[in-house]
Amino acid sequence: MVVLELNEVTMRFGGLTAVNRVNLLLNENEILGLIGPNGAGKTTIFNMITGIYTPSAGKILFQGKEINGLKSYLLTRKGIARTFQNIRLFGELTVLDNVKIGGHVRSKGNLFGALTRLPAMAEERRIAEKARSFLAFMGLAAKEQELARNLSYGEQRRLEIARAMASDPTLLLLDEPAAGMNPQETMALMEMIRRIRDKGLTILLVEHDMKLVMGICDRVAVLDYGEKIADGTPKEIQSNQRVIAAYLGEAG
Amino acid sequence: MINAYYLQVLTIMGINVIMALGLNLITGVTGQLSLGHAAFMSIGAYAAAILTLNYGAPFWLALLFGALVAAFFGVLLGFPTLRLSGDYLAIATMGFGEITRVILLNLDIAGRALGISGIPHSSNFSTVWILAVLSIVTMVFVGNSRLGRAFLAIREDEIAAEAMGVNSTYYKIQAFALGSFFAGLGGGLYAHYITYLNPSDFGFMKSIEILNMVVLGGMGSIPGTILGAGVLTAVPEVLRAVREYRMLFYGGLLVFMMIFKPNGLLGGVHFSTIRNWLIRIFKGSAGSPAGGSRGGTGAGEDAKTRVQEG
Amino acid sequence: MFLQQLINGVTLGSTYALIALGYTMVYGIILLINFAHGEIYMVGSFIALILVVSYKVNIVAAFFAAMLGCMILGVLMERIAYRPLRHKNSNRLSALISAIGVSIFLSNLVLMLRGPQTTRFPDVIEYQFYSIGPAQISNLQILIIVISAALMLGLQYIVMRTKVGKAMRATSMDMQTAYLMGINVNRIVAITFAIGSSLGAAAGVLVGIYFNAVSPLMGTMAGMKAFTAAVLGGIGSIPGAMLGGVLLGVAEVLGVAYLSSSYRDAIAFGILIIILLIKPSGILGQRALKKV
Repeated sequence: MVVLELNEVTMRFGGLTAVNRVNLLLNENEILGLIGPNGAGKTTIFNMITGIYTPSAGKILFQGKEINGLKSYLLTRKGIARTFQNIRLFGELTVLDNVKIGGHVRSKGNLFGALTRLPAMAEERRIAEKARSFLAFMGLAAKEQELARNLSYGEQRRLEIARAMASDPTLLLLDEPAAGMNPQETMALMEMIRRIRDKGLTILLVEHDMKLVMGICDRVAVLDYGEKIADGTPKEIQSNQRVIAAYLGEAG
Repeated sequence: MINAYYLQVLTIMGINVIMALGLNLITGVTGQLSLGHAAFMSIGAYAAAILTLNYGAPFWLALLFGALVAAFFGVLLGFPTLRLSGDYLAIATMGFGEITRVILLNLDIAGRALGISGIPHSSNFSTVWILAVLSIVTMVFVGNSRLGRAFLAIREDEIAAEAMGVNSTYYKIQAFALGSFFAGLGGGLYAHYITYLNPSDFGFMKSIEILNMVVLGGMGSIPGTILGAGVLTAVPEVLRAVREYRMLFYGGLLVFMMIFKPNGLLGGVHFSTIRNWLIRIFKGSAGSPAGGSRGGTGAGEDAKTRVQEG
Repeated sequence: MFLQQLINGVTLGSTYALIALGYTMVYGIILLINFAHGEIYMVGSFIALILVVSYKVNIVAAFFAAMLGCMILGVLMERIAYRPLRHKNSNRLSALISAIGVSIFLSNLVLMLRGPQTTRFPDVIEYQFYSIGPAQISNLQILIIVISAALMLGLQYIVMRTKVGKAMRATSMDMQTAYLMGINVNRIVAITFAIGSSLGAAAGVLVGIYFNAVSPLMGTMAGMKAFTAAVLGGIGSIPGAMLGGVLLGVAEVLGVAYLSSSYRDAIAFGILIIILLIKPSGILGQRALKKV
């Protein structure tokens, strides 16, 4: 089943075309890597899928339904969650609270609940329990009472993933999850991403670490100057002449 | 025995606590700078006073009515303005405050420039402090709920909050409505304590006075806001120099706090933090401070147990 | 009569435009609504008044002295109340609160020193009236419009044609990158405050002469209106501030003439809230792109 489909999606900022008629398919339970030089339009694509930008042209379909221009919070409700390239945690809140907020769309509770307290208590306990399970999953259980901003860089990246997972997404978008991690941390992260996929999630990730991309992605799509220049298995991509010229060639 | 003067200061202090808690919810917890808090106070005050004077409504009903009318105007102002970024909101709330004052000055039912006098003296120390305690409890409950976490998430990072499924406009309006409710409640109590109202009592400077309470105590902290309201009610009474140059003092205080202590006196301190301090003091260092108090007190306690820096 | 109101509106509006420039420039560079800018305008007015009344200084000299005085005040203000916050990387709320603090401090300082009463500004030029069809325009009105226009053109020249102007534009686009390119960002911010404040002072003196009145409380309201003008034109845009100022001046004068004078000050706020609803980016402003 196709989870996400980009159909001739274009994004223009004034005179600049950041993304030009990109087509992309994501099948259920697949890990798709999106790579390309800086400024190729990867994050712009993420921002369109998650409702921060509305595409100038083209269609984005999630589970067969068009989602162009829907607000971020509605997309999260539908089952799309993301992390951010330049980490955006709730810095002054605890690690646990960060993940609890991640579960916002999968929990109930309004002013009335907050004031009457009793009916909310069982729900609160459930929220906390779930949040702890995601923290444990990402190896952050011991840190739950720390303030998010006091975590190390690698821990912050993992917390972002835990927070995104708390929204019970169908599709998880990871924007450079390994950025700033050392090789050991990256190895551990790869294992975590695989385990997330084994839970049944579909994953789209942007990453510069080729070891990670080639190691865990089922398929890789390559962007250059806003256009998709290749799409295939990691093996195919590694031997694709256009990709080598545009991207890998530069890298060495 | 407490003499009448102290009783009066303490009563006004309680009213200020209620109003400052309302502003703390909007500005401290949700991160939206409101410069029109006095306008909501005046709306609550006038609405309550008019209800008792012109319609003979019972005091409690008038109070509730005043608070609800203020909340209603909070929503009314919130709808258009809360989609905007923070600084525009500040200006819009300031403009709203000004418009409210001008309208009160021209409204017959509000007594125009003369204001309203002869309001029954129904508030007293106990009614004010009963409501203040209820307000504090409400704020603590809200702070430890899904609702409160959504408010905090918006303050911390609105884009990330939206990405986590928080409809930020919806929650900002709720914060605004709730905060305005408490401003209106404070206003109603004020009207029935002082017994006369005049539009000039609710100008921009009143909004700044309330903002100072929140900033001094520590934005986002309930104990801090209570402390701030207490200090800024008492200090002008005690220090004549502060009373005379009150506004000069308030202006300087805002700048000073932002530069040297932006988190206020009790920034980041919650009741649970204080409780943990007390546990530590009474039990010695034996119990583990953060986790020790959690068992069996219910899930709601978890959010309260925040580890503090330093 | 409409034409007369239009002339009065443009005169008033050009002073709003001068003040609005200070808001828009500072906002353009450090994304801060400098709440204290209205107070700078008020202080400028007082400097000229005191020089003219107590020291018998020529009005032209007093005008420039006020501009210079406020230039210094503006730079000091930035140095004391805003720069420390920028360096601590505090959030924008802190800077905004600090700006409000400065505003309240300055207006109450002058209030304490001068008392709340309105002081008459002496007649420094002899009135002459010229007829334009059925309407009249005074030499003072012409002077205000001409001086404002000249100052705005001067500013436009500095921003668009000089090296400092180029550095200002670079800093407003991306402070971090500008810094990495070797631009002394602190200096550029200080210059921005200096220019904005001197324009505010110029407006203060012109308004003082025009309305014959100076008071410690004049800054808050004028500042709010000028800010409205800046938002109306598109905050961050210099031509926008000019356009917004003139439009607001005209709207206010027409509003008072045809609606009611008791709502004079509410008109500007009403307009502000309406623009924020319909087009928060203003007439000439560009919609800012969210950076994620």
